[in-house]
Amino acid sequence: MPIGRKIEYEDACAEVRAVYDDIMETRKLRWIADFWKVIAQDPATLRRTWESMKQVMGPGVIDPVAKELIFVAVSIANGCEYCSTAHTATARAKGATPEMLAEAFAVIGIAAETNALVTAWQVELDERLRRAAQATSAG
Amino acid sequence: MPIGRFIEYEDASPEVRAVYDDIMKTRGVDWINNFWKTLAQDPATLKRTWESIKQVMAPGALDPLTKEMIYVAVSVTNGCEYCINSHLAGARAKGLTDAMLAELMAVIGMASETNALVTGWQVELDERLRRAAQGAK
Repeated sequence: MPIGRKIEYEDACAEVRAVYDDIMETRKLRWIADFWKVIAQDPATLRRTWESMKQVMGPGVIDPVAKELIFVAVSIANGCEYCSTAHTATARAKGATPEMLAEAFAVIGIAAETNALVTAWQVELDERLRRAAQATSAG
Repeated sequence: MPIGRFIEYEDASPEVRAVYDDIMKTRGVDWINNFWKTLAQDPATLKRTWESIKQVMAPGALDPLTKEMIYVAVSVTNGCEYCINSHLAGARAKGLTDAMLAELMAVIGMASETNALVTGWQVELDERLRRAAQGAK
Protein backbone atom coordinates (compact mmCIF):
# COMPACT_ATOMS: atom_id res chain seq x y z
CA MET A 1 0.00 0.00 0.00
CA PRO A 2 1.38 3.39 -0.87
CA ILE A 3 1.29 6.19 1.67
CA GLY A 4 -1.93 8.11 1.18
CA ARG A 5 -3.90 7.46 -1.98
CA LYS A 6 -3.76 7.57 -5.75
CA ILE A 7 -5.21 10.62 -7.47
CA GLU A 8 -7.29 9.34 -10.37
CA TYR A 9 -7.81 11.53 -13.41
CA GLU A 10 -11.49 12.04 -12.63
CA ASP A 11 -10.72 13.33 -9.13
CA ALA A 12 -7.71 15.45 -10.12
CA CYS A 13 -7.52 19.23 -9.98
CA ALA A 14 -6.84 21.18 -13.18
CA GLU A 15 -3.09 21.45 -12.42
CA VAL A 16 -2.71 17.69 -11.97
CA ARG A 17 -4.86 16.93 -15.02
CA ALA A 18 -2.64 19.15 -17.16
CA VAL A 19 0.41 17.08 -16.12
CA TYR A 20 -1.43 13.79 -16.70
CA ASP A 21 -2.46 15.00 -20.16
CA ASP A 22 1.13 15.92 -20.97
CA ILE A 23 2.43 12.54 -19.74
CA MET A 24 -0.06 10.66 -21.91
CA GLU A 25 0.59 12.85 -24.93
CA THR A 26 4.38 12.69 -24.59
CA ARG A 27 4.40 8.93 -24.04
CA LYS A 28 1.55 8.21 -26.43
CA LEU A 29 -0.32 6.25 -23.77
CA ARG A 30 -3.90 6.34 -22.56
CA TRP A 31 -3.19 5.59 -18.92
CA ILE A 32 -1.16 6.96 -16.04
CA ALA A 33 1.24 4.81 -14.02
CA ASP A 34 0.71 4.63 -10.27
CA PHE A 35 3.95 6.54 -9.62
CA TRP A 36 2.42 9.73 -11.00
CA LYS A 37 -0.96 9.08 -9.34
CA VAL A 38 0.72 8.72 -5.94
CA ILE A 39 3.01 11.75 -6.18
CA ALA A 40 0.02 13.77 -7.47
CA GLN A 41 -0.89 14.09 -3.80
CA ASP A 42 1.81 16.80 -3.95
CA PRO A 43 1.00 18.63 -7.21
CA ALA A 44 4.14 20.80 -7.14
CA THR A 45 6.37 17.72 -6.92
CA LEU A 46 4.32 15.98 -9.60
CA ARG A 47 4.81 18.88 -11.97
CA ARG A 48 8.50 19.42 -11.16
CA THR A 49 9.35 15.71 -11.40
CA TRP A 50 7.51 15.29 -14.69
CA GLU A 51 9.15 18.38 -16.20
CA SER A 52 12.56 17.07 -15.12
CA MET A 53 11.85 13.59 -16.46
CA LYS A 54 10.61 14.96 -19.77
CA GLN A 55 13.69 17.11 -20.21
CA VAL A 56 16.27 14.58 -19.01
CA MET A 57 14.84 11.55 -20.79
CA GLY A 58 13.93 13.39 -23.98
CA PRO A 59 15.97 13.33 -27.17
CA GLY A 60 19.58 14.42 -26.80
CA VAL A 61 23.03 13.12 -27.64
CA ILE A 62 22.58 9.74 -25.93
CA ASP A 63 20.22 7.36 -27.66
CA PRO A 64 16.83 7.09 -25.83
CA VAL A 65 17.09 3.32 -25.28
CA ALA A 66 20.55 3.76 -23.75
CA LYS A 67 19.14 6.42 -21.40
CA GLU A 68 16.41 4.06 -20.24
CA LEU A 69 18.96 1.30 -19.64
CA ILE A 70 21.08 3.72 -17.57
CA PHE A 71 17.91 4.54 -15.59
CA VAL A 72 17.30 0.81 -15.07
CA ALA A 73 20.91 0.36 -13.89
CA VAL A 74 20.58 3.04 -11.20
CA SER A 75 17.21 1.64 -10.13
CA ILE A 76 18.54 -1.88 -9.73
CA ALA A 77 21.57 -0.62 -7.81
CA ASN A 78 19.18 1.29 -5.53
CA GLY A 79 16.94 -1.77 -5.15
CA CYS A 80 13.88 0.04 -6.52
CA GLU A 81 11.79 -2.70 -8.14
CA TYR A 82 9.05 -0.32 -9.24
CA CYS A 83 11.58 1.90 -11.01
CA SER A 84 13.57 -0.87 -12.70
CA THR A 85 10.34 -2.48 -13.94
CA ALA A 86 8.85 0.81 -15.14
CA HIS A 87 11.99 1.78 -17.05
CA THR A 88 12.49 -1.72 -18.44
CA ALA A 89 8.98 -1.33 -19.86
CA THR A 90 9.89 2.07 -21.30
CA ALA A 91 13.14 0.70 -22.73
CA ARG A 92 11.15 -2.01 -24.48
CA ALA A 93 8.69 0.54 -25.80
CA LYS A 94 11.64 2.48 -27.23
CA GLY A 95 13.07 -0.59 -28.94
CA ALA A 96 15.18 -2.55 -26.43
CA THR A 97 15.28 -6.22 -27.43
CA PRO A 98 15.53 -9.15 -24.96
CA GLU A 99 19.19 -9.51 -26.00
CA MET A 100 19.88 -5.86 -25.17
CA LEU A 101 18.18 -6.19 -21.80
CA ALA A 102 20.15 -9.36 -21.03
CA GLU A 103 23.43 -7.59 -21.83
CA ALA A 104 22.44 -4.58 -19.73
CA PHE A 105 21.68 -6.88 -16.77
CA ALA A 106 25.06 -8.60 -17.24
CA VAL A 107 26.84 -5.22 -17.14
CA ILE A 108 24.87 -4.22 -14.03
CA GLY A 109 25.90 -7.51 -12.37
CA ILE A 110 29.61 -7.24 -13.18
CA ALA A 111 29.65 -3.58 -12.14
CA ALA A 112 28.14 -4.52 -8.77
CA GLU A 113 30.75 -7.25 -8.39
CA THR A 114 33.76 -5.06 -9.18
CA ASN A 115 32.36 -2.14 -7.14
CA ALA A 116 32.33 -4.51 -4.17
CA LEU A 117 35.85 -5.79 -4.89
CA VAL A 118 37.23 -2.24 -5.10
CA THR A 119 35.49 -1.31 -1.85
CA ALA A 120 36.67 -4.47 -0.12
CA TRP A 121 40.31 -4.13 -1.22
CA GLN A 122 40.21 -0.31 -0.79
CA VAL A 123 41.89 0.23 -4.12
CA GLU A 124 43.17 3.78 -4.63
CA LEU A 125 42.55 5.62 -7.85
CA ASP A 126 45.44 5.69 -10.34
CA GLU A 127 46.31 9.29 -11.33
CA ARG A 128 46.47 8.10 -14.91
CA LEU A 129 42.85 6.89 -14.78
CA ARG A 130 41.69 10.12 -13.17
CA ARG A 131 43.28 12.13 -15.98
CA ALA A 132 41.79 9.83 -18.61
CA ALA A 133 38.32 10.26 -17.06
CA GLN A 134 38.71 14.06 -17.12
CA ALA A 135 39.96 14.18 -20.68
CA THR A 136 37.63 16.18 -22.88
CA SER A 137 36.42 14.67 -26.09
CA ALA A 138 38.75 17.03 -27.94
CA GLY A 139 41.77 15.79 -26.06
CA MET B 1 46.30 2.41 0.91
CA PRO B 2 44.78 -0.79 -0.43
CA ILE B 3 44.69 -3.92 1.69
CA GLY B 4 47.90 -5.81 1.05
CA ARG B 5 50.06 -4.73 -1.86
CA PHE B 6 50.23 -4.33 -5.62
CA ILE B 7 51.55 -7.21 -7.66
CA GLU B 8 53.78 -5.57 -10.27
CA TYR B 9 54.36 -7.28 -13.59
CA GLU B 10 57.98 -8.01 -12.75
CA ASP B 11 57.02 -9.79 -9.53
CA ALA B 12 53.99 -11.63 -10.92
CA SER B 13 53.59 -15.38 -11.37
CA PRO B 14 53.13 -16.70 -14.94
CA GLU B 15 49.37 -17.06 -14.29
CA VAL B 16 49.05 -13.40 -13.27
CA ARG B 17 51.32 -12.24 -16.09
CA ALA B 18 49.13 -14.04 -18.62
CA VAL B 19 46.09 -12.08 -17.37
CA TYR B 20 48.03 -8.79 -17.39
CA ASP B 21 49.16 -9.49 -20.96
CA ASP B 22 45.58 -10.18 -22.04
CA ILE B 23 44.29 -6.99 -20.34
CA MET B 24 46.92 -4.85 -22.11
CA LYS B 25 46.34 -6.54 -25.46
CA THR B 26 42.53 -6.38 -25.26
CA ARG B 27 42.52 -2.72 -24.19
CA GLY B 28 45.38 -1.58 -26.37
CA VAL B 29 47.27 -0.09 -23.40
CA ASP B 30 50.80 -0.57 -22.08
CA TRP B 31 50.09 -0.43 -18.34
CA ILE B 32 47.99 -2.16 -15.68
CA ASN B 33 45.80 -0.13 -13.33
CA ASN B 34 45.73 -0.53 -9.56
CA PHE B 35 42.49 -2.57 -9.51
CA TRP B 36 44.08 -5.51 -11.29
CA LYS B 37 47.39 -5.16 -9.45
CA THR B 38 45.54 -5.36 -6.13
CA LEU B 39 43.24 -8.21 -7.17
CA ALA B 40 46.29 -10.14 -8.36
CA GLN B 41 46.97 -11.00 -4.72
CA ASP B 42 44.21 -13.58 -5.39
CA PRO B 43 45.11 -14.95 -8.85
CA ALA B 44 41.93 -17.02 -9.24
CA THR B 45 39.73 -13.95 -8.61
CA LEU B 46 41.92 -11.86 -10.93
CA LYS B 47 41.48 -14.35 -13.75
CA ARG B 48 37.76 -14.94 -13.16
CA THR B 49 36.97 -11.23 -12.88
CA TRP B 50 38.94 -10.32 -15.99
CA GLU B 51 37.33 -13.11 -18.01
CA SER B 52 33.88 -11.87 -16.88
CA ILE B 53 34.64 -8.23 -17.72
CA LYS B 54 36.07 -9.18 -21.09
CA GLN B 55 33.00 -11.21 -22.00
CA VAL B 56 30.37 -8.84 -20.58
CA MET B 57 31.86 -5.60 -21.92
CA ALA B 58 32.61 -6.88 -25.43
CA PRO B 59 30.46 -5.68 -28.33
CA GLY B 60 27.11 -7.45 -28.53
CA ALA B 61 23.51 -6.32 -28.79
CA LEU B 62 24.59 -3.14 -26.98
CA ASP B 63 27.44 -0.99 -28.20
CA PRO B 64 30.52 -0.81 -25.94
CA LEU B 65 29.98 2.87 -25.06
CA THR B 66 26.42 2.19 -23.81
CA LYS B 67 27.82 -0.60 -21.67
CA GLU B 68 30.43 1.71 -20.14
CA MET B 69 27.72 4.30 -19.35
CA ILE B 70 25.62 1.63 -17.60
CA TYR B 71 28.75 0.63 -15.66
CA VAL B 72 29.31 4.25 -14.58
CA ALA B 73 25.64 4.55 -13.52
CA VAL B 74 25.91 1.53 -11.21
CA SER B 75 29.26 2.75 -9.85
CA VAL B 76 27.89 6.22 -9.04
CA THR B 77 24.90 4.66 -7.28
CA ASN B 78 27.17 2.40 -5.27
CA GLY B 79 29.46 5.32 -4.43
CA CYS B 80 32.56 3.66 -5.90
CA GLU B 81 34.86 6.53 -6.91
CA TYR B 82 37.51 4.24 -8.33
CA CYS B 83 34.97 2.49 -10.54
CA ILE B 84 33.35 5.75 -11.71
CA ASN B 85 36.70 7.08 -12.88
CA SER B 86 37.99 3.87 -14.38
CA HIS B 87 34.82 3.38 -16.43
CA LEU B 88 34.56 7.05 -17.37
CA ALA B 89 38.08 6.62 -18.71
CA GLY B 90 36.83 3.54 -20.58
CA ALA B 91 33.84 5.48 -21.90
CA ARG B 92 36.09 8.36 -23.00
CA ALA B 93 38.27 5.91 -24.89
CA LYS B 94 35.12 4.58 -26.59
CA GLY B 95 33.91 8.00 -27.69
CA LEU B 96 32.05 9.63 -24.76
CA THR B 97 31.80 13.37 -25.47
CA ASP B 98 31.35 16.13 -22.89
CA ALA B 99 27.71 16.52 -23.97
CA MET B 100 27.08 12.80 -23.48
CA LEU B 101 28.78 12.92 -20.08
CA ALA B 102 26.43 15.72 -19.02
CA GLU B 103 23.36 13.78 -20.14
CA LEU B 104 24.61 10.64 -18.42
CA MET B 105 24.96 12.53 -15.13
CA ALA B 106 21.48 14.03 -15.55
CA VAL B 107 19.89 10.60 -16.09
CA ILE B 108 21.70 9.18 -13.04
CA GLY B 109 20.46 12.12 -10.95
CA MET B 110 16.92 11.84 -12.25
CA ALA B 111 16.76 8.11 -11.59
CA SER B 112 18.07 8.59 -8.04
CA GLU B 113 15.41 11.21 -7.37
CA THR B 114 12.49 9.11 -8.58
CA ASN B 115 13.91 5.97 -6.92
CA ALA B 116 13.77 7.87 -3.63
CA LEU B 117 10.24 9.15 -4.28
CA VAL B 118 8.99 5.63 -5.06
CA THR B 119 10.66 4.26 -1.94
CA GLY B 120 9.29 7.08 0.21
CA TRP B 121 5.73 6.90 -1.06
CA GLN B 122 5.92 3.08 -1.24
CA VAL B 123 4.36 2.99 -4.67
CA GLU B 124 3.18 -0.47 -5.68
CA LEU B 125 3.95 -1.85 -9.09
CA ASP B 126 1.17 -1.52 -11.67
CA GLU B 127 0.33 -4.92 -13.20
CA ARG B 128 0.30 -3.19 -16.55
CA LEU B 129 3.89 -2.04 -16.14
CA ARG B 130 5.00 -5.49 -15.03
CA ARG B 131 3.49 -7.02 -18.15
CA ALA B 132 5.05 -4.35 -20.35
CA ALA B 133 8.45 -5.01 -18.78
CA GLN B 134 7.98 -8.71 -19.55
CA GLY B 135 7.43 -7.83 -23.17
CA ALA B 136 3.63 -8.04 -23.42
CA LYS B 137 2.14 -5.76 -26.03
